[in-house]
Amino acid sequence: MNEFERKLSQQAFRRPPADLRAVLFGASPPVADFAPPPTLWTWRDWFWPSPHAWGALVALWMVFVVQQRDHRPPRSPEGAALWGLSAVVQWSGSELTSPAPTPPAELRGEDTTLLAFHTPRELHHALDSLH
Amino acid sequence: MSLDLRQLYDEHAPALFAFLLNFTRREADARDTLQELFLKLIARPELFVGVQNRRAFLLRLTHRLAIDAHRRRSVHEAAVERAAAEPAALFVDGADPDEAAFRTALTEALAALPAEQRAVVHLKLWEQMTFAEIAEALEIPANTAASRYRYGIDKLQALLRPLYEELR
Repeated sequence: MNEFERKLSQQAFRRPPADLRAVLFGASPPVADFAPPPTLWTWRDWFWPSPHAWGALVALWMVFVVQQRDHRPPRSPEGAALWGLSAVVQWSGSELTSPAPTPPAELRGEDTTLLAFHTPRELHHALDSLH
Repeated sequence: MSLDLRQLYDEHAPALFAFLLNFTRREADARDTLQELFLKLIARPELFVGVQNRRAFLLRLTHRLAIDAHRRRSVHEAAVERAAAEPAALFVDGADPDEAAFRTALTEALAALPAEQRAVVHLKLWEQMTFAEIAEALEIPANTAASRYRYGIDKLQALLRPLYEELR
């Protein structure tokens, strides 16, 4: 504030009319009592009583939702087809990587070519019928 | 909760009346608006709940009421300017004739300012408010408050310079 501004700010304004105070407060009580307005609802009001319990519940739901999403087939036909294909690939992969079946004792040392086409159970059946 | 309205009046009414007198330039309007403001507060004291700066809050309400009052009288804001053409006595009279002349010149110079510039100049000079506080009270951006003040004070300086230099 420069000198000119200071000079202006020193000029005193007139005061309100003397009777206005009496007009305003003549009949009313000097102190107004009032109830504060209700505060707005917040999420905190819900969470505050047991934040740990709410947090644990949220975490549990997250785990549940993630698990559901991983195991549920998609609803669209394309999605379902892809899901089915991936399931087949997964199954065949596990078949290929699993160890080869052990031949029955009777066939040990024999030609095991049949094992490539038949399960041990079927071979057992076949041997039984021969006996 | 409770609010001492008489104490509130004693603390703030002189400043609010000064603002209104300078803004409206008519004593009757200033009085009516001040009365309307306090009648509202008597009816709804809960308006003060959560208010940090009472003076700034009251000035904001006062400014709104003054604008509403002028709009009621005329749809054009030019009414404020027309009213300003008939300046009311703004300042307390003093014995010094030179100072009296300066006050008269200042009253006329303030009347030459647009109402919104005058409001900013008043709050800056006579309420010592910051531009941020003025912006909040008048509901304008702080940059606007600063530029209005600069234009206003430059104009006052131009109008009052001869007399001001003479008095120094």
